[in-house]
Amino acid sequence: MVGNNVLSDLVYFLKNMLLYQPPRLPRPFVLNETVDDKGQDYLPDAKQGLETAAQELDSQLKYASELRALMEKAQVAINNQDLSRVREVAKKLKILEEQEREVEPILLSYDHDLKPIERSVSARIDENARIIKELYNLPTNKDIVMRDFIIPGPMPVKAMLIFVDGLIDKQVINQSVLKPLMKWDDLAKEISGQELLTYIVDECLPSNQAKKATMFKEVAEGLNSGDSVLFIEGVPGAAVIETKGFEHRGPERPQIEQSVRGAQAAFAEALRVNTGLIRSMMQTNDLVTEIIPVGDRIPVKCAFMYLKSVANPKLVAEVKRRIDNISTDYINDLGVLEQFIEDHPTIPFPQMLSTERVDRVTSHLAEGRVAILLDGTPFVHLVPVSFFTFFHSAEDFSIKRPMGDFMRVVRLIGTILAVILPAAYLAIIYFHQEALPTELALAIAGARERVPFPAAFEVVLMELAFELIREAGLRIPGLLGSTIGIVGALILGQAAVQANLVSPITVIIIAITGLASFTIPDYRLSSAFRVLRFGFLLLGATLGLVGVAIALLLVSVLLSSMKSFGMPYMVPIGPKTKPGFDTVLRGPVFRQEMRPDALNTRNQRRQPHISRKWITEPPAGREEE
Amino acid sequence: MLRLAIVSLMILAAVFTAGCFGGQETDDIAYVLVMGLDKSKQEGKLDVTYQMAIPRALTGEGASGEPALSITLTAESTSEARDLFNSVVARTLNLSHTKVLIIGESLARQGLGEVLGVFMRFREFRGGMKIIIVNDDTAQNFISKNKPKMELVVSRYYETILLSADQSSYFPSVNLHDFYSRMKSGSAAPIAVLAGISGKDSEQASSIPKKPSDSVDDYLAGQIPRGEEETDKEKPNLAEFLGTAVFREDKLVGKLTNQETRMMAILRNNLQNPFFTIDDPLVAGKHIVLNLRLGRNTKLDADIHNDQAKLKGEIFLEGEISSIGSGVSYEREDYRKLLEEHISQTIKQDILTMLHKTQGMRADVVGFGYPARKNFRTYNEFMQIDWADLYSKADIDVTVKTRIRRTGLMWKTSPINGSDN
Repeated sequence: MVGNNVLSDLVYFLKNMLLYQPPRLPRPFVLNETVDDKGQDYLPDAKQGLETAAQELDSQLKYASELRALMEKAQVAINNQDLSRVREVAKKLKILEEQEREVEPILLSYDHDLKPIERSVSARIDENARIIKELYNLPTNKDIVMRDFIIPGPMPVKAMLIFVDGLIDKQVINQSVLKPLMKWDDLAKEISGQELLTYIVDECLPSNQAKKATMFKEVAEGLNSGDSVLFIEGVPGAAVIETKGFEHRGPERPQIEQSVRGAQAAFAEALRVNTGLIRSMMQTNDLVTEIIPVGDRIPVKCAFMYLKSVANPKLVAEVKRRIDNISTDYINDLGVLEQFIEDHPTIPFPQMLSTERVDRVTSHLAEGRVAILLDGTPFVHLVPVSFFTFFHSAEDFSIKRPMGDFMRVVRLIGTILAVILPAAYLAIIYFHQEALPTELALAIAGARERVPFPAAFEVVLMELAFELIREAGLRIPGLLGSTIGIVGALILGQAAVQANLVSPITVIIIAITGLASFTIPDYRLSSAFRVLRFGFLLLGATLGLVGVAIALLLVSVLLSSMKSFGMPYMVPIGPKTKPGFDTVLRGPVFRQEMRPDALNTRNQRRQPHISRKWITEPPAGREEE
Repeated sequence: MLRLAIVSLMILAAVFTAGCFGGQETDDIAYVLVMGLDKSKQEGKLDVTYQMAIPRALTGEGASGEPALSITLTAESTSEARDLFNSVVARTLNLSHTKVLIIGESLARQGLGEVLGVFMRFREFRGGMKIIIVNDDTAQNFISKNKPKMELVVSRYYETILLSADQSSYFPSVNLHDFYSRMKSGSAAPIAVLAGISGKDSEQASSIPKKPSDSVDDYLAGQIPRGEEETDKEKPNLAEFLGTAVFREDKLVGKLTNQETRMMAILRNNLQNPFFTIDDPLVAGKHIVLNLRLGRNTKLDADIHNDQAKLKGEIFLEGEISSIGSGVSYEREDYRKLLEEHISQTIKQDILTMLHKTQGMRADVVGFGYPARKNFRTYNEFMQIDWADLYSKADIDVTVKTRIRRTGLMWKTSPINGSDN
């Protein structure tokens, strides 16, 4: 380098200034393509065989050394004529005998070739600990707690308790597992092996659920769901003790399906809470809860419930068949499971009734439907379901018939408006001006006079604005205020009118449409109609009322072609079945004599022809007349 | 895939061949609310007047100026006029909201046969549009002078006033379809409502001779006497609907006054609940006002024997007393009978006068031709005869029965205390 003269400094400075130099950054992290793991399976792993062989030899060696230590002890005991010592040695020998079976070379090599999850529980506690460590990636994984302790008594036995931290109730483990075992001094009987385990499970543990497990699969299932597992030296089995105590939300008030009347309990995330809620409202031995795990890699508990004496057994079998035959890694939500098992996944209409209300589930169970629950989802789905069920609300039957009917009619009008109003508006003002009273036609024309856009563009603009507000209102964090949606809509509407971007009549049309769409009680049906509305809009704006009629026809065809778990979607109208007084309007409760015909339940009749038997009897106090 | 393509193509074809076409933005359309037809000064041509709404004037803010615009063009036919209008008005004309067809008297006297065809044929016109004949004036003048003050839109004015026709029965409400079918069927003479502008010809009012039996004056449209200050300024609306235009075949042959129109309405079952002013049968120079309506539907009958028609009408009126100028106790049973008989006689006389007048015009305005059809085996046989001729020579027998059901809110007329007699 040239010396540090002024010139070279200047040159260096200028060079630094003028030339681009990339900033010095740390080496970026790149997520490379994973190597195809298929190929890896076929690669011969030279070390693998050696490792299992070493493990085999290791366990045999351990056994041998333990045997030798025992023999030495026995010699000492016999030499000293110490009877108690001899007894102790005899007991140890029994444990060793138990363990001997496992160290048979053939069995050992077979065992070591199996995956850890498929192995059976060993009588050796350190072997079990090793397998658990392998299963749960210990010590990397910090969730697993392994607690070694000794069951005291005349002949102390080594024991090990394993549980997953966060899933268990510490109180339960301390009080009803560790305490009785560690303070246990009543091991007078000289029992060991399976007998000891049975004794501990049957007589010693004050836990509500405890069962014996011999395979690591059962052990892992228990651990994953919050149970604790007890291993005892010399016992080729484990005790799975119920100590569940993870945090979960309890039942709260319904958030989505609010009602003025009726029960105010909604489902929570925990499966057992949900099944318990249903069972607590339907206290009958007739109610069956079946649980199937779904998901191959991460199994999630899926339950389905039905009334044994009512539900069609074929329906139950079909639900079970579909859930059983899903092969996927992980299902985290009932909505995902629904798409795996529904009849028409491509059609936007919901084919199951999704509800968060307990009373709704029980009333449908009583009609003969099947409820599907998934652990972690605060909703219950009901199958099979007809199109008209989505217009019913939980409280229709809780209030008197005229009001219930009125509300249903309002909802139906709302639905029709929500679907066809913008399309009909465009069709009429584009093609059928004569269909309007003159003054209305002139009022619409006058309102649109200053707007530079075509009416169709206006409507689409407002529709999009409305959808934006709706979606924004849904996604906005609660802290930022939920009223922004409605306020935004008003401001947007008014400002757009004042800026002559849209006509007031369009704002009214879209406002009515939006309001009407909220009268649809089922959120998913409402979303389906929201999407369909744009199709209606297109056909209405291009083809007039004929287009609207075509769209209605297509939707009717689609609806009539669908089935929900074997039941036609448009039942009881298409195909026609026996009316049940609960389709569009509802009949009096005392005339709901039969269950819905299309469900083909085992037991069709709900109540006798005269259900109010008191009307045939003399009134109280008038018996003698 | 091919199948899907074919099916979707078929659906598309079906959709686009079955759909509606010709959609138009509201700001591309001019709504014609009123159409006027006049005989042009040029031989064989028509003066066509279109009155169009200006929608901008109807919106709340910045609503200024006239809510309607009238333009008159001269053309060979109404259809030709529509095309000429396209060169005058920027927007496309839409005739589906045309409420009334107004025809000047001179054109009506010349004959409407040729003119009306297009209104029945062209799809945008409605059969329900009303037909109005302007009394002794042009349609153009009537449209330009008719400025309703209460109604914002002129179409609403026409709809409302013609809907209220049966309130007084002083003018009929006739739609184009009725007019056309009467014109073509030969069973009745076409009639139309008569309209006019007030004060145009004030001396004409007295030109109608007052019959000695009449207790109220007879008017035609435009002849209702109004307060002096009203006719001076152009402020109030000067349009009037009163009386009936009577046609023979397609030509205007005469007019019925308001009283005659009411008699016609009785026979046509169109009487709602108007007030009748009748001379007091006992005290000369005093009037009794009654609120009468049809107790039963009027029965019309016609028999034809040896080319001589015998027409019958059975009328049953009932009503209540509104005022008794003389103070005679017509509420009492015996007086009431007297009054009822008197009313029947008066109305019978008025009806016969009206019918004789129309016999003179050879125009069966009531429609005795419809019951007369029963005398023929086929419609063709009926069409062979000249019903107008038979009608003009027919014997007419009308029976009127009246019942006074109520006496209003008073049940007795007390004399005024301290009066001289």
